[in-house]
Amino acid sequence: MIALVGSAGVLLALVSAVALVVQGIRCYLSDGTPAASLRLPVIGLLVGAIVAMGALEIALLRNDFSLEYVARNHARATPLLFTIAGAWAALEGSIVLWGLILAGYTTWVFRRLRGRDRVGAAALAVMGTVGVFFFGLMASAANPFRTLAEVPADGLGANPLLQNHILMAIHPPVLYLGYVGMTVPFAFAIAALVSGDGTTAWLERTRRWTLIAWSFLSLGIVLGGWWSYEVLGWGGFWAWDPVENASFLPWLTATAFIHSAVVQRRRGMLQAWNVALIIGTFSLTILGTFLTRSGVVASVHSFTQSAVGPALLGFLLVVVVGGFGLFAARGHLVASSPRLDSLASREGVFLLNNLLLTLFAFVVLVGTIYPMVLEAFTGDRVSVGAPWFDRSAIPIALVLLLAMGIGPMTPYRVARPAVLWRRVRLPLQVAAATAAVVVVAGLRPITVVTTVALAAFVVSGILRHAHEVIRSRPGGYLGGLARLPGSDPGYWGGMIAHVGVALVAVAIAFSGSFGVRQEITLVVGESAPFEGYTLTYRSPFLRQEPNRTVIGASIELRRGDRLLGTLEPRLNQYPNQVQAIPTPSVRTGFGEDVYLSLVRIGQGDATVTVDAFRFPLMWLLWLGGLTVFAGGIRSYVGRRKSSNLPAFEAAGV
Amino acid sequence: MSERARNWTALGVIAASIAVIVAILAAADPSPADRVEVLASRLKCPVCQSESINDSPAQLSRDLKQMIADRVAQGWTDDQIVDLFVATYGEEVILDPPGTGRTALLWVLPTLMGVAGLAVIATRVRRGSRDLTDEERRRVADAVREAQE
Repeated sequence: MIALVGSAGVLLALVSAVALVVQGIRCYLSDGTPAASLRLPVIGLLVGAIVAMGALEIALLRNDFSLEYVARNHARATPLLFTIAGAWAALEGSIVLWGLILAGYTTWVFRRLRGRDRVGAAALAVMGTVGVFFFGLMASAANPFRTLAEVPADGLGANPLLQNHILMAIHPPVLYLGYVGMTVPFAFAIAALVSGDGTTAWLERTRRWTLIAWSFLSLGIVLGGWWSYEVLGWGGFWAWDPVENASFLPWLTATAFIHSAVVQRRRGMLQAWNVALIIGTFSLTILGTFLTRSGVVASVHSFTQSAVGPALLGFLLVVVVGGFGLFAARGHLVASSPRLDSLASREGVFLLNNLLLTLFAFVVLVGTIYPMVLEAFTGDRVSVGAPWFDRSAIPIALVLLLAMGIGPMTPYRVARPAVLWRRVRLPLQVAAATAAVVVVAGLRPITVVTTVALAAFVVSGILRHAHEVIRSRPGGYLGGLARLPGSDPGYWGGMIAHVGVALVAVAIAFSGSFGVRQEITLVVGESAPFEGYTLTYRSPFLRQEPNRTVIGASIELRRGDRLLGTLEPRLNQYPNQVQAIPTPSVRTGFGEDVYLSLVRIGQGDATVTVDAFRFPLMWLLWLGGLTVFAGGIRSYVGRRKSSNLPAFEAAGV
Repeated sequence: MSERARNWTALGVIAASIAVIVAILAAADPSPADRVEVLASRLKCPVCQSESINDSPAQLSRDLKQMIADRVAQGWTDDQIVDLFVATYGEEVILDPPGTGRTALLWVLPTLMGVAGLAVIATRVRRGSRDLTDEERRRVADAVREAQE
């Protein structure tokens, strides 16, 4: 019954998506008044997607094991949170989530159309096309409502790694809000190429949609790192795993677009390049979906292998060939001719930023797919791992940090040395002094010192500018500070995001260079020193939970005589998996985290072996990530207050 | 403080900081990197998807790390140890592929891309800086006047 309802929802959404394509094209070809003819398909798409997702959730909540998806990915004992999250914890369900979020964005785009809008109608037709593919997938190769002839008494249960932490319920939807959100700018880019309209209005709209998607993608990536840190137990948050890279790649190109869009708005340059960046970003999200959903890279997230792989690969080809083919044929219609007056200008730094970000994306792309391509064509197997990525990425990232600091201080058009020097004078002093202080304090190696200095440069540059602006305005200082972001949300939101990136950079450098790991074996009652702390093994424990058996160790953490807390690293034994899943126990402190991961509990000899880690300043990483998100949202919310600037721009200055 | 004084203060602070950093870094003994850690990070755990021996919690990885430590203690060079792993587990065991042989493209492609990008940017710069023409100056003045009205 519920399978029927779900399938009906998928079918309704599929038919509506087809109708949206047809009506969108018709509307584009006629006068461009969208409301009447597009409303029904959009509503149908949204209702269909909601019904499909709702049916899947209800089937999970009611333990309806007649559905193959529920039988495979759910069990009666699965806790409520992971039952709900089960709807996106495996392939078919994650495609349903894709579809639902796509339908949501489509509705949002539709509701923001005003009056005659041929570009908007064409964009909705493109979104409909993407919808046809994904709902078509749900109706065929990745059907979540396939039923079983023989209904089992209980299901197999969710992937143990995915039912270990609350973040698993939050991270995928947030990431998908970013990932799927990139469909919107893509749709507008294709619409711009088709109509030959790449005007300022188009750009403003596309940039705002990209900002939304980019903000959620940033947050999703950070939450993914957090999940990895809290759950996987190897002590890290980023391993350059293909699945992680899949989310990072579109983030890099979208970041490039957000910046180069400013150049187009202010200086009328880079229009065609902007369109290419957006097509590239969307292509990378489809590539990422292919990598993570086809099983082509076997890793934690790539949980299955099916006909979905070839379908996604085919769609990727259509997007890449179609998108860039259209760009090659019609890109000149949106191209702009103005050239740089000087490389030493804000535009020049933006170009450098774009070069570095696209180069970064290219490096990550090559490293990610090289082993697969090589194996596919020659059968040779090679690995490209963290050391290769680190070595390639760190220099690029450091230059990017420098550009991030100097860019906002550089005037447009031509930066006269005297003006630039007056602005960088203070931040340079802060950076140099900070570097000296941390070196005196004993900080090494040079890459970490450089990162800290550059972060200080970035942050002090932003503070200097804020201070100058606030002082030049009437009213109190604190009030001025509070009003500052609202005075130009696009700019100051960006600066908030820059501060977040600087924090993230420092946290990555610290945890990468000063993380300490030590394997410690204790018998009950014994204590051992660890990095200035004392670990005391109290006792092992065994808990029978509905969905798993938990074996753990209670270990007291002391500093001097002071008890800081009891850490309980565990091994979770799930009925559907032979290998036990470790859950580390983390104590987050202001200066550093202590992180214990259980290796084994000795049978009979009352011993426990743990991997003890110490990571400095981990909270900075999560705080920095949230700050980036907040900055992106701040840029999006609230429009630029009226000023004289547009008049200058209109004059083409 | 006058502009002049600010300039001199800035130069002073920056120069003094750099002097301090250089003096300390030059005097400090470069601590020898922990060869065992570095090697264990460069080699893939043979039974894992992509984790290094250093990161993997698998028992085999612990044993292999111990083996690396033993070899280092016996005076083996890094290359000898890596070669031993390649001979045993195949080329796949190296996580940072060399810039030669079938992984050369991994280094060549990004370099080409970087050079091409720089070349493209160079062509986007107008030859020779120029000032505003009289016509442009008049348009600016008009725009300013309109904005103020």
